[in-house]
Amino acid sequence: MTIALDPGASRFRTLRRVDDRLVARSIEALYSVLADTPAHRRLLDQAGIPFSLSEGNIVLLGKAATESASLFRESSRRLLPGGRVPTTDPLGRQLVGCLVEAVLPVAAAGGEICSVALPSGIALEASESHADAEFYSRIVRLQGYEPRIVPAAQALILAELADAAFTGIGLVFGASGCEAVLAHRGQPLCHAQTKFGGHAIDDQLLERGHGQPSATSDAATAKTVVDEMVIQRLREEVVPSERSPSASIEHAVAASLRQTAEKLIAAFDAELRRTPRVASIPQPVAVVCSGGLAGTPGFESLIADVIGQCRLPVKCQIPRAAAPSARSVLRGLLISGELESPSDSIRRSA
Amino acid sequence: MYRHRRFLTCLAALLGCCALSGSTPAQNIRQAVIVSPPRHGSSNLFAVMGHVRNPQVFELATASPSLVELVDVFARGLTDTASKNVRIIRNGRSIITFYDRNSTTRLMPGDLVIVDGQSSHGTVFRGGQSNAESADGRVRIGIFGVLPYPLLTESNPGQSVSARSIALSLWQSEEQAELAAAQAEFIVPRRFSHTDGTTLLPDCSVIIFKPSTIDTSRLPPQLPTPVRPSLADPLIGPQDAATPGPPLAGNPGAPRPLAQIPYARSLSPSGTAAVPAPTSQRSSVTPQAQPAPGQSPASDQPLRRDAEERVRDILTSPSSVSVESSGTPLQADRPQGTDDQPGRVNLNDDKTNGSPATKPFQSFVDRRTGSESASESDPTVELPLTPAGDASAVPPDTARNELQTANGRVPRRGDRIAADSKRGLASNDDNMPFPTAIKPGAESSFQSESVASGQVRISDKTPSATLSSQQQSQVLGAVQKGTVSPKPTRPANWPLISALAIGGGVVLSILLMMIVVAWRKPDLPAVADPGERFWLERIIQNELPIEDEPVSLPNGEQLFGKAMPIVRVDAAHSSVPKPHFLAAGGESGVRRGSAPPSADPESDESDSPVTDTGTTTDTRTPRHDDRPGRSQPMVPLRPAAEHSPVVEAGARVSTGFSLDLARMPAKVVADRESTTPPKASCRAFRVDSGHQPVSRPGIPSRSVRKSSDSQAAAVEEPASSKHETHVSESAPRPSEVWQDGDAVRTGNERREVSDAVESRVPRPRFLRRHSTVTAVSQPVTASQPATDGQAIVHSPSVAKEQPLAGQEAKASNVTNASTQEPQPEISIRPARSVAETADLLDRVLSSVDQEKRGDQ
Repeated sequence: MTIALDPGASRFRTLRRVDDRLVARSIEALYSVLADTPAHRRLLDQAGIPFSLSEGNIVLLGKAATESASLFRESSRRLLPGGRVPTTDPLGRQLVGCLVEAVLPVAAAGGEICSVALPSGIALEASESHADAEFYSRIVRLQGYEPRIVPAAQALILAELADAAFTGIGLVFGASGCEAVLAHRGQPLCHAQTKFGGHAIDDQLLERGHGQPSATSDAATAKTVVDEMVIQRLREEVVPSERSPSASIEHAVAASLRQTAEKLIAAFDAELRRTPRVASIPQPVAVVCSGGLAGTPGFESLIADVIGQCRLPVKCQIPRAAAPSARSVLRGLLISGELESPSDSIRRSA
Repeated sequence: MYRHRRFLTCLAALLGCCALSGSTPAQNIRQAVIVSPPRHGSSNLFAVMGHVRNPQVFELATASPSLVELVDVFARGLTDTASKNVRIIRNGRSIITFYDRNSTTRLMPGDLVIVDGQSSHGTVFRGGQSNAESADGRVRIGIFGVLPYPLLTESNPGQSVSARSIALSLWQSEEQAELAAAQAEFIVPRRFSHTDGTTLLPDCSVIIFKPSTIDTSRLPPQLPTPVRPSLADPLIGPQDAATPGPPLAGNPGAPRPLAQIPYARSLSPSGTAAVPAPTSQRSSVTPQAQPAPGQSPASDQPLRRDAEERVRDILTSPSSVSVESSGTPLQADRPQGTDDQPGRVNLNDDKTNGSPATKPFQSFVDRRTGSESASESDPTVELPLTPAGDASAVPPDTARNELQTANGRVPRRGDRIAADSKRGLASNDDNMPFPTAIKPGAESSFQSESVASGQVRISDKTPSATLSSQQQSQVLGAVQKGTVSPKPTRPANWPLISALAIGGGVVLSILLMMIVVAWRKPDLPAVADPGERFWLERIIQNELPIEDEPVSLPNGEQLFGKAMPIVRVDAAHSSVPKPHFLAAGGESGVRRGSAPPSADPESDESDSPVTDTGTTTDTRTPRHDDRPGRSQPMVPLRPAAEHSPVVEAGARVSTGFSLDLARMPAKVVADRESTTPPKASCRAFRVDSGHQPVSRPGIPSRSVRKSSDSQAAAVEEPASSKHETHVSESAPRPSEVWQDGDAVRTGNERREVSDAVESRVPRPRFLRRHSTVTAVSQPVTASQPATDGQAIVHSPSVAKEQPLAGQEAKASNVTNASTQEPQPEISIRPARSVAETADLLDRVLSSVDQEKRGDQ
């Protein structure tokens, strides 16, 4: 059995095949800390909320953290700030392991492949990325799998560009960063990424005063609100108005999205120009987008506009967003793992 | 199943190859792996030439005979002209050694042992200029590259030879002889330096022809073959003529007399070839080994027995003797010649152009055959030396020549039989050009020789050898002299054993490789038929349904480490709607205006990030990675108390809070100012007495609580703050109070209590006796508890500068703990109605606004 693991900055997701269906697990990458008091315990027990115990604290994970945050007036915290595994927070590292174990079932047999996509924005060449990759690899090995690190954008290409012979550009706009890959027949030729993602947009908007987080202080919730504003703005194509707070927010979000896309495409353009093999690829190449930001209506036109302005060295088709965005990367990871796994499991027809 | 199929495919391919080649798989593998040079017979060929009594090419049973054994036993020892210098030609290189009876030098198959002779005294040897003859005047040459085994030649005394003459004697054409001589290599004795194709060769030289320069189709057919030493070999010595031997039987491996060869028959005038009769010379080969009649001392018996054993061991080697069926006498592999150098090729170049006379190749059989026609003194038979290029002199056996392949392979017996049958000749062994058996016609003479020399009879049932007394005495003599070095044990055929071992190992390794290849996992997934990759294609096409599975979170798991501390301060409401009776048009309150619609379905209106007032606090939510002293961006927070049901009921006092406009972005400030109602922008607090809970008498007041230790209590008391540390827990709690409107700046552990309002709603009438409103500064200290039934209204400046007109105001001793300023007066008056209180508060607020505007 091959499984795909996507420890994103916003959610941890897995996808695996069981018989003739795909089974997905997902959990928010959030946690909250309460004081370990009898009252808290009693309330949590009555509500049936699972919790873990730390040194004098009660730790809530995932959805429980978001739901109970408003109840206990405690803000939930990001488990992967910046998409990185916290290095100075031992409790946070343990919680990351707990979440991975929660979404990753134990392997039925040894040697099964688990394709892992690191959060976007993490350069694989950096040492800290190696540390994160090693961290996830250890947890995956403890679950009985053999980890394979696959870029999320490459997995997106495998999932969405089958009609184009797995040749094209994959853009992933994640919460912690963005990533772009040009692949030819499934093999990546050029790879670029930025650390400016959904969380950065949220923080930027909050600093500008356009949004106030709820009592949960959940940036993810704030992002959802902001994204919905962008949805509204893009749908109605309203010119941003400085007097209207909503229009101002729309304008700000639109500007942030454009800034995010421009940063990614600029970095990708630089990488493309450093790769001479790009010219040998049949053009125009297909472009597919995925990620939380890519679900915004009108995001395709925004990307097309940015690509057109940047003038990439390769001719691109009209970008399209992967649907559903949340599962494209997972499906690509699953395909990648299956292609690298022994043929026994593949030959078993569904 | 897939692995089985691959394995079966490999096995079928191997078996198919075997079937096509007509051999077993093991043979195929062995043939493919073991590449051995072409050898003759069992490949244990050893040649000895030079100054020995029996220069010959021997095919022995052992693969590693000793030098002494080969020279003394099979070559019958050294001649009188021999020196002690021995050269071993091995793989084209010369190994010089010294002959000694105690030498332990072992030979290898293919070795040519050359026993150098003593140089003729008085002869000056100039390298390459003169033919260095030996002391006996003969020139002995070893020839490589013509046959798989070396050819040995010996010129007559006084004759000189060169490479060209030797090539011509091999029936090569002039051009071919020139080419062969030019490209030949020479190994000459050490005292000679340079030799080329035309130089007369010195004695005991070796010529190595290039096989490509020798036309094997023109070779004379009587070239000698290796000799299998047997019991009738010269080792046995002169046979006892008086002892009749068994009749000779046909032995396929034995040499044939020349009379059976058509050419020889043509040469022989009588048409018959007979083995020459034994001469007197033969009986005098080893006279010293022949014991005198009656001389058999008892002291020699143990040695004699030991010698018998040793000789028997040598002679009863399976390859050295011919084993016949029971009762059939053995015959010698080859007849014994009358000369002391049987089997040797003599060169006679009498008919070569300009060169010294050299006899053609002539084997001992030829010599023996010619003994009938030739004189007794010259028993050799001269073969017709064909002049170079003389096609008429070529033997008319063209069909046989046709069978000779281009690669120089010597035609085999089967080939020749087929050729003979094609030419109408009798296809029996009698017509074979190689001497294989002794004809009955020659049997008489040879038999007499055999009888004279005695016979050794070995049966397959009785492998022990029986030596005649004469033979035994001869062998004993040789053993006693040390010329025979019997082997204590039968030598193992190590080449064969090693070849078998290597072959077996190779077969096993190949089988293992096949098994591993068949059973190992392929590196890449095999592209099977489309049906096998059905579901993978469905995944790629996104056709498989995706089901969400609930995640079971760990419950009760013990983790280690403390959570990273974060500082969180709740902010107050920016505004509270007015009561319905105060709102214009009878509305229940002022709705918050242009808040953007919330996209979060779970979030209510209060979660909207933007309020109508646009007010915000200068507080922010510090992050866990913040560091003290570092400037952090300002993050506005919403008050946590909005979710409280108490707050929703409106029973609270709301107030504005101070704004840090300098830290706000200009755009935000502009937005806020444009949308914020001026009245609610600052200090628009009021008391909504209708929803204010009523405190019970006697309960100590807790104006400010630390909420971090009791989150559950925060549900009931939403205005609690986690980090408001100035707590009056020990103070008596006169009434239930609320504190709201606190704005705490906590950027760098700096907090400031702007203002607070404690209000108290009059108790129900049946409980109320009197009520007061007390304006105090913030914080309320424990030393000045509020009296039951009193309302505390915050307005330090107003209380100080604008006492309520017409009301009793009692200055309070409450001091501001933070500012240490004198506390304003607190007027205590009887309880008012709600309308009066509201009017009062409006006036107070308006005065505060005016005051603040004046300050700004």
